[in-house]
Amino acid sequence: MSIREGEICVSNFITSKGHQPLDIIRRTVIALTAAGALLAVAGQAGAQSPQPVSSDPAVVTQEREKTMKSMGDAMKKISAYVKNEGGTIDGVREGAATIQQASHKIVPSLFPADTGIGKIKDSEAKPEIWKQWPQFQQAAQKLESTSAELVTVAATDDRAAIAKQFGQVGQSCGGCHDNFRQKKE
Amino acid sequence: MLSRLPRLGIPLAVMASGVFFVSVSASAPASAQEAGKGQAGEGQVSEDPVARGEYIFNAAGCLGCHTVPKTGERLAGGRALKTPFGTFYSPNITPDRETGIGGWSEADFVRAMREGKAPDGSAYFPVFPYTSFTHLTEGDIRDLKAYIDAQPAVSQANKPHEVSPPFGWRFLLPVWQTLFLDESGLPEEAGRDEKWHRGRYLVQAAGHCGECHSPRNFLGVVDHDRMLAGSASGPEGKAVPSITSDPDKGIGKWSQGEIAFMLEIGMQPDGDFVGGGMNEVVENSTSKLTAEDRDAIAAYLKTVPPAP
Repeated sequence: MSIREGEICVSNFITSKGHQPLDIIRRTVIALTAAGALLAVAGQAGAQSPQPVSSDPAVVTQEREKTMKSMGDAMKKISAYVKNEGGTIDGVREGAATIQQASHKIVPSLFPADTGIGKIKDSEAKPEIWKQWPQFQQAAQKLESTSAELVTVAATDDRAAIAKQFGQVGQSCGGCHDNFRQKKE
Repeated sequence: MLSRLPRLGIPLAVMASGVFFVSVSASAPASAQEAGKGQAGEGQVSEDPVARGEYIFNAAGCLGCHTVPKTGERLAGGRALKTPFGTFYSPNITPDRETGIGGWSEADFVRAMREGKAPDGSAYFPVFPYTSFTHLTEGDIRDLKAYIDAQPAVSQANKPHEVSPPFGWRFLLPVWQTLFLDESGLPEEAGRDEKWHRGRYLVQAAGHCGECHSPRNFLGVVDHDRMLAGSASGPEGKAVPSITSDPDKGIGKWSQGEIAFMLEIGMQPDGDFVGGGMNEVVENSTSKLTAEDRDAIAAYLKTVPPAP
């Protein structure tokens, strides 16, 4: 887009303003350089490409699966308390903190585009993640906010409130899995 | 397992009351649960057919297919259902007389659910799971109509299906129905208690779980010997897991309580949360059932034999 604007600019100079050839070249260079710089900035902002945990997609995928597993273990721990099946409030607090910390890592570093299904063996990350990046970010942010709230609620001993917020976190997990994960068999 | 329920106390009461799922309307749960209890053979049956129908509506998960997720008008249809035979678009089932089913008689509705036939006698594609709904009791079907009739009418024309020949040839469907639609109902099985029968009814008739969780042959017929044993080509062409009692391929290692808990909030025994469409089923359907009914489903699933 920016380049096209630059080009229009240049053609205007030629047709309507009647500048000297050297002047035109100089202005063209300036216009194109400016357009290029704009484009680079826009590209960075648009992709919002965060720093992956590793430059090796296989390593990132492993790290991602480890993180997901740790969140699953934490949810299991919290559910034991919610269901009154041997869980403790300390387990809830620990689990809530694990999920909240892990949720910060998800978007920024665990989903580079080259780690999807078909690119990494056994990857469960659907291509929809990168096709619908804003929706994916939104889904990931939902986990950040619901897990942060769980940390807050877990500071109390209110089992009913914890159960309710646990359900909200669960919905964040499931909501994202519904659209963006294809579980391997 | 029932002995476990009282210990769950407040938390499960909170969940059961629908606090988890914002989509539950504020006034509905009490009447729906009452209706559900009635269906389960415990407590009082609601005297309001609309309330009873709402429970069936949730148990059958009508909302999922008949509404475009997030953007669509409720029950106005238009959701694309991709199958190996082509893409089907669900129809409008609001009471709109022109584009919905507002002009249908009760007999029309019963025939659609039981025999897979439209009021004009034409046959429906079995993507509409009448092969399961045919096992619903007539009372439940009538209640369901009462509920659907009480929903807001939306004028939205149906979208034609995109199905390639010969599967798109509707005139072949009566042949298919003659061969594969078994309207004989679910026979009572000796040695099984009321709870098991209730669970089977919810799984096989209302919940139509086998429509996604069972393999089909090249004519789209569910393989009854491998009922609930998973499918390589479920919705969107994705694999759907086995839910038989097979300890390795199925969910044989899950306890009855773990199955019921998954149906309630979507969490599997390993702490993972279901996705791939099942999260939607939990949200629209199983989370809205009574705890007794979820436990009945779990009890039944524990008895489904592994596929040969």
